[in-house]
Amino acid sequence: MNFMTTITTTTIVKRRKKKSQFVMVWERLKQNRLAVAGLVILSVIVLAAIFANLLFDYEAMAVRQNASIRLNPPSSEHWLGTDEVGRDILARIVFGARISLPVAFATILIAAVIGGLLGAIAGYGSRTADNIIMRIMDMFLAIPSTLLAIAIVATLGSSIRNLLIAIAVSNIPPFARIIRSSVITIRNEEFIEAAQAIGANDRRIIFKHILPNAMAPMIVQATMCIAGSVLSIASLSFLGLGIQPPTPEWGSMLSNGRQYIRVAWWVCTFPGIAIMLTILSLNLLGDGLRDALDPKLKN
Amino acid sequence: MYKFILKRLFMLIPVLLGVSFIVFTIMSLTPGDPVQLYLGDNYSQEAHDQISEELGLNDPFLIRYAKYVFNALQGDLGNTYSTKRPVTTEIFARFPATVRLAGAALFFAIAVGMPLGIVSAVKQYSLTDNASMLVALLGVSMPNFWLGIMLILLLAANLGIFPASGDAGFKSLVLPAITLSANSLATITRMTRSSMLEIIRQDYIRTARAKGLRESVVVFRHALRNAMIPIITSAGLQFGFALGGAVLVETVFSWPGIGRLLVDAIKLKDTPLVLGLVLVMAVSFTVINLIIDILYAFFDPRVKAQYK
Repeated sequence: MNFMTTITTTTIVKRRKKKSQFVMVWERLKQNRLAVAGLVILSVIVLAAIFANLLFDYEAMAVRQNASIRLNPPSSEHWLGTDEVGRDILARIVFGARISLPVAFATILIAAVIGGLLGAIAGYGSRTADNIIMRIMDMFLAIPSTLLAIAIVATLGSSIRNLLIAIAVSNIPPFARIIRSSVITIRNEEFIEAAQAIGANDRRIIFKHILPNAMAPMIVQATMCIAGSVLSIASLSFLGLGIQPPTPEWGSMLSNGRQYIRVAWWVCTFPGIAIMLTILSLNLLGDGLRDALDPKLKN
Repeated sequence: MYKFILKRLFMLIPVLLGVSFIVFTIMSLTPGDPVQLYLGDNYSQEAHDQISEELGLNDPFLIRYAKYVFNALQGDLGNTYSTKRPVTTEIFARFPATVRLAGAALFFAIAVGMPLGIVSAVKQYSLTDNASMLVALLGVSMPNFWLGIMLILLLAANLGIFPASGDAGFKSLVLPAITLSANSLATITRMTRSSMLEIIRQDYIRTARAKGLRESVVVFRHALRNAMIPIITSAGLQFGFALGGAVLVETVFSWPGIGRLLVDAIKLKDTPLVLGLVLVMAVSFTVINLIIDILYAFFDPRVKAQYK
């Protein structure tokens, strides 16, 4: 009798069209209006960054100085006005996205890979390894991440490469922590015991069984961290420690325009809105992904 | 309880050693000759050798670190390169201004954020709820240095209500404090709301209502007290972040605190001062975390019982 029920349920399950994990998450994400809004805003920014060359002439509009049109207010010719040396602000914002987004993405990729690896070793390895890794991470966590990034850039000198290193390093500890805690939860599940029983080695268990199951919190954390990274890039550049002029970057645009706010409000307003929209869209998407990936909220 | 505090204080020691080691290593990797920064442009070879001996730069790395820690334990963080005065003097001359700013920001964030969060939770999906969630969403997404510039533009440059920079009494504190509080305010509002929402659906809240308690008693005594733990955590963490965020806000408002001192020190490549500042900020951050942990016990008898 028992045997029979098992067979019937299996056939029923099989008859239903099997959806991949990705499709299921996507369908849940689609229902969340805020997350979709975030995705749309982010897509617009990404597309503008990709096709920036088609939209604006980099040399003529974003870099070359033109004293005759300095500090012009928004007009039909320059939609968001011009800055203190006559460069088009919209063009500089669009080209700025070409710096902020890839750098932010790269920093988080580095942080996620290194942090994920450290977290997996800490969570799956011996108690000593766990203690050593996590105590070192605690020390890094004791320094506020902005401060750590500032200290690193201050030491290494300001360049895109050093900016990348600084922000990546300051983002490693939270990733290590998150992966470690999900690895520890998953490690004690029965399917891991089963995999060990059929003779799978540690590497196979970590990469095939544990990491795929620990992906959900990692993806959510990554989305949120990219937002944080965009902010860090802008903050450091604002302090003069990040991307150096004349490269268009949102933070340094704000820093340069600051002296002119009494006569030209548009110089600082729009780059800030660009930063805010980017971070907002990533936060909305992150929130939505967290809900969509949460198995407790399925159906 | 005392045992718990003592235990946590002992756990501070390895963390502080680690933090100082990390910062010291980063600073030692700095390219450039510290002696040159110390002496300026004109100096003889003898003066160079003498100063580098005096500053202990000829010692191996670990010896230098050990000396630094040994001196730091006696409250001596060395002299700055730029003013040649003790680092501690420079830092503590500026420290009160930052604490005042961060304190005012946190006070504002709690005073506005908590009531907003409570109202949002009690009247879920109402207009107030949606409006405050929108504000919170914008608050976490806004770079605070941009908000500062916008506030200066609006309230200082155009309307002239508040001064745009400097530290001259209460009025000059208002704009920087609001700027610095924006992110914390948003986080605290969101935290209060979600924490309250969770509690408000509990059975004992229904019981409290069923036995005819006034709504205010239900909300404040039964719900809020139980919702406090995550709220305190985020408020405490925010104070720590405010210390970090102060670097930017102080730059925008020319506020004479340690944040701006740090930026200046970095630009002057004043290594001992940078090292001291990062250390002081990290120590404050760690101590605040400790205070939060102790506060838990006061707010939650369940935690207190664990450490009896």
